[in-house]
Amino acid sequence: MARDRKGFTLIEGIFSMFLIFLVLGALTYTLRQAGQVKSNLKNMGELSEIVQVMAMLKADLGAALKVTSPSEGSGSDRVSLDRIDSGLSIQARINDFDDFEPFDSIDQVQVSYFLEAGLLKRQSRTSLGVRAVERLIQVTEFEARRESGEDLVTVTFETSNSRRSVRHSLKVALR
Amino acid sequence: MEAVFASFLLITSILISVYVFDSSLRAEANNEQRITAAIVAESALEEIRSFANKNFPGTRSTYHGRNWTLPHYSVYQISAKVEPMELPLPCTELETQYPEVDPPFPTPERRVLAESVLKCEVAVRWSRGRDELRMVRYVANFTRASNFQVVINPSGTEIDPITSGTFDVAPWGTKDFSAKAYVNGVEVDDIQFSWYVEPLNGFGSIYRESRDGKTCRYRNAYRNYDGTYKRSAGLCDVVVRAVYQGTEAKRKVRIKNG
Repeated sequence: MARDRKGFTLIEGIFSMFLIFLVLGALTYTLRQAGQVKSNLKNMGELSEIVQVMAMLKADLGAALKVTSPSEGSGSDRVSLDRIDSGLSIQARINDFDDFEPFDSIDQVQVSYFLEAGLLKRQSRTSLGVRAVERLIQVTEFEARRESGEDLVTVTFETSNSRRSVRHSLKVALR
Repeated sequence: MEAVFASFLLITSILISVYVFDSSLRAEANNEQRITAAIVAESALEEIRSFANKNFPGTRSTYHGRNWTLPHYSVYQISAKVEPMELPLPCTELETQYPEVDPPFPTPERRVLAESVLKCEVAVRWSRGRDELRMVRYVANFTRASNFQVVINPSGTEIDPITSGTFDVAPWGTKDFSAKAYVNGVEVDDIQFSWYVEPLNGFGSIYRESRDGKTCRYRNAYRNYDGTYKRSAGLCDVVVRAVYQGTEAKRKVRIKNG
């Protein structure tokens, strides 16, 4: 009596199932990783914005002629400082209206960083009263602290999105 | 046999593509941590710079070999290495005015500023020490100088606020002086002094000046245009001058040439 040889053996079935599970497993893992890559790319985009803001803060504090807020030994929700207006050329700064003084008040600009309506803003105001406000990034908290007897300003702020909240901190030595 | 080989190829290709994808993801995640580590390193260096502005001589003992973390970045371990750094004067043209009788190599011997700058290296480690970022910066003292003074030794009795003396120097004789500079009573290292003679009714010359400029030898003689040595009896002042952070300080000693 001839046996019906159509179909798969048990070994073939098990091996093909193993392959199917392997491919499905790898596919699931890859899709999950793709989701993480998307999330990581978003984090990197946010971080590059934060780094840019930190660089701006550091440049302003590093060039400060006078820091009015925070005062020594205290904290504040605002950073305010006077610095040379980087938009002015040296020729413009040594004009004869102010006796060739390149650090005169007319050559300075008042810069402030503060939190308003969930946005970190940078305001600059020249001695002529020209005011410009830049909207930087979304933050939930912003604080600056200056220890007594030290020329070190620590700026802390918190950013948050639907997935996470991160606190960032930056120290800048005043020169 | 064909089925086994085909399966092997299929499994290998799947595993390789998953591995490559996973590696790129890990690198992506590491990028974020590396940028954060750079922010931490910058902050640590600013902390050292701030301390150096306050207490420059004590910076090395306070931070060399120190390990610490910053608030909000507790997984990033910071370690610092603070070492003295020698800064050679950059212009050899300026060196040629200091010839030596038997000069060592290189000739002229270069002037080195050994106390002006510290080399600060900050290493930030994360992922249990598996990943590391290093940042190096030279830190100088930027404290604003006030009450900058130059002191000359020996000084003698005071004649006016910047002049003292009077020292007798015999014909063809010499007299040695040294100078130090102070800011708020703290000696300033690596400063460059200039020595010269101001004639009153006599004249002499600066005969030798040490390489660091801190000492000089005055001689009761001067060299004429034709190369002959002459002398001029009478009074003159030996002046030492230094400039620090744009502020000039001078000190004079009066000489009576015999």
